[in-house]
Amino acid sequence: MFFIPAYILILAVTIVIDYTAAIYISNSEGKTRKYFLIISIVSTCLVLFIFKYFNFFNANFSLIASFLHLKYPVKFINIILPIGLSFHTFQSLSYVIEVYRGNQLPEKNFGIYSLYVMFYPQLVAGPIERPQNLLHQFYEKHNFEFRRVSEGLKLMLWGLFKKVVVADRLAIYVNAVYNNSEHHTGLSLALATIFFAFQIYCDFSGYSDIAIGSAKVMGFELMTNFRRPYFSRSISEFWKRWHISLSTWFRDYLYISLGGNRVSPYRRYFNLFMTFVVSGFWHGANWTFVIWGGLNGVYLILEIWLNDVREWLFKSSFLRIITNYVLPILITFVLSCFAWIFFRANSLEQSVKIISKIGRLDGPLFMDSPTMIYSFIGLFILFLVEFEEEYSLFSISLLNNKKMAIRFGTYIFLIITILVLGVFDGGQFIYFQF
Amino acid sequence: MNNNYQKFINRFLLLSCFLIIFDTLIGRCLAVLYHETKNPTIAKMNYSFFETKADILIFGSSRGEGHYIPQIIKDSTGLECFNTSIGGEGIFYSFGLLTNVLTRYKPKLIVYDLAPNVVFDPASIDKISILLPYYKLNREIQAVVALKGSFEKYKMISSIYPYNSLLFKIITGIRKKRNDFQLSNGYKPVYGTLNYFVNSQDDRYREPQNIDTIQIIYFKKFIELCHKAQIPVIVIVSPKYYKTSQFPRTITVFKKITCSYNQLFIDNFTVDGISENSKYFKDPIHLNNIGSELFSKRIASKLKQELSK
Repeated sequence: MFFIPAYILILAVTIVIDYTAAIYISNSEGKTRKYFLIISIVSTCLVLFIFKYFNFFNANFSLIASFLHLKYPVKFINIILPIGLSFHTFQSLSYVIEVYRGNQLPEKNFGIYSLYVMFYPQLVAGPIERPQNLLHQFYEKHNFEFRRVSEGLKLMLWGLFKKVVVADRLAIYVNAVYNNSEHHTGLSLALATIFFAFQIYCDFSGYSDIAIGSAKVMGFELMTNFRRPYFSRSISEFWKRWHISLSTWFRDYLYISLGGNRVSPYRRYFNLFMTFVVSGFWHGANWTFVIWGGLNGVYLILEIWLNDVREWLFKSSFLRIITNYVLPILITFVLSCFAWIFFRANSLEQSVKIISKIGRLDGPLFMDSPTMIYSFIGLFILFLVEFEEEYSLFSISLLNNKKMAIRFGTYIFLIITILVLGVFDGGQFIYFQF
Repeated sequence: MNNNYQKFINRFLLLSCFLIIFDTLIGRCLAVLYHETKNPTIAKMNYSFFETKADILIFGSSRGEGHYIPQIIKDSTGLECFNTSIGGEGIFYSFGLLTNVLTRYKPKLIVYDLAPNVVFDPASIDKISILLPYYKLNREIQAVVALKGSFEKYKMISSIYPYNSLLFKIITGIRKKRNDFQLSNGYKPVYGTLNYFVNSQDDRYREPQNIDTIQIIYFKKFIELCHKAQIPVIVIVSPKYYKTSQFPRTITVFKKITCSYNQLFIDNFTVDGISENSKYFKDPIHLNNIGSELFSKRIASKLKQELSK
């Protein structure tokens, strides 16, 4: 979460290891290739483990030792997690695995490889790129193109709107309620949880838009990271639309490596569950993240089981719009909100207390009128834009309208809304902590 | 490629022109409405900045706002008194306000209510935003605003930005018919009684390790400003419930600064007859209306003594 110049060395070590390993993998055959791959993966993950997970494991081992009345002399280490470590670790791993699989030639130019790992628009919070998509772009000539620069700037503007008008405004209510959850009612906690679902979406997708937009301005195409996830009609669809670069990373390098779909049903469920548990653990060294990931894995397994029932329900109803769209979207949203409670809560104990309070839904709603009104204005604009993008009911595109007056009007509206309603003292991007 | 550049620059300039026009127009409207609104906090700040001519001015945070009753002080001293304190605000707001007050007139006495808990408020720098609508008044306020970050002066190029996040307060205040704060001369009573168990080990009421040095610097500047203008200042630490921490290090630091300018420092953080009685408190750090009446009477007599010296 912090930028400490000395930590550049950590990045340098990872880069040197993976750069060298990839060349050796490419030049060797048989088991030697695998050894180099293992050396690369273990050393890259070791850095992540020390900085992110050591204290977590240490605390848990210490707890077990005290439970068993054993001496546990290992001390905690006092270090700060380098900014973006989880992201560039995964990007480096992606490179060596692709070289090992033969999908990517090893990069000979050390400067170009370093640029691949440290490409600044996506260094701190993704999208986690694949070498096949990004490396070749560093060799291409990038001329100034009006259309591309304009598209990049528009994406950055929309990302900024999502971050400062929606995410940081919602954060005021969410933090007020979640940071004092013991003093708030079930109703307030339920609203704060719904707000958090949109806060984290706008915070992270806003960052991704700014990253993708700024890369585009310079002539680089990064992968899409979000596609309106709250319009998903199932949890599996949600994960195809949410943090796409991470979920496809886990699919390609963990789920498929575990056997993917081409195994017995029970082994498949195990693969799914494990993939999501690890994904949760990637987010943070806390049991709350593990449960959040595991819960999403359980949702997906249940979804596979209930697939036949869903098909029957959606086809047999008269109110097809309700059953095909509204109901599945609502159910998916409620399930993801439930999982977000674990993601946002500070501890497992707090999550359980919050869930039990929400279950009762009693007491008055905590009102912070200005925050709530500004939040609803931001959410309303977000909904209008994303609804039209999703279903194209009116075929209106404001930011890309053919008429310049409408385009300019939209830019000015967004900039003025940011100035009037944006939160300029808001915190960092949430995903910077991972 | 040249055409691409030319087209981009042309569109960029055109958009910038429109943006400047809209920003100026909307910013001007917001400025007018900001000075017209009767939202209690905004109207009180505007009054404090541009209108009050009271002999005794009280500066502070929510504790200052709810602990000092100007009418009681007036009855005791015979001097007009106005309470400029704003909830949640600390020394930065008080300093900014004082710089502008001193350009208009010279009060006879200034009371600064030191809230030791506010000194440690992690959001104190963010709260400087309250001074944005007054940014252009003088360089001292601009220097305070600059503490928010190096980009602040560039953001202030916008005419809308100073009124960021204030639209709701401005509009709802426009519909009000009267300025409530004027009836009580800035005092904001707090009703209700402390009726729950106070855990003395609660982190919220304990003195943190590191004192905010920027706030100390601005406190010193505040006292220095009064000293230069030859206005006596009395720094008061008003009562809190006895079970919470004494903040001894903080009080010592601020007392030392105050005394170095030969000004009076009154430490009433734990005071007999008030601190031990929960019926005078709304919560562990805020007196209720009954407590503030009792405390104001005590302080008024001390102020009278000081003024008669």
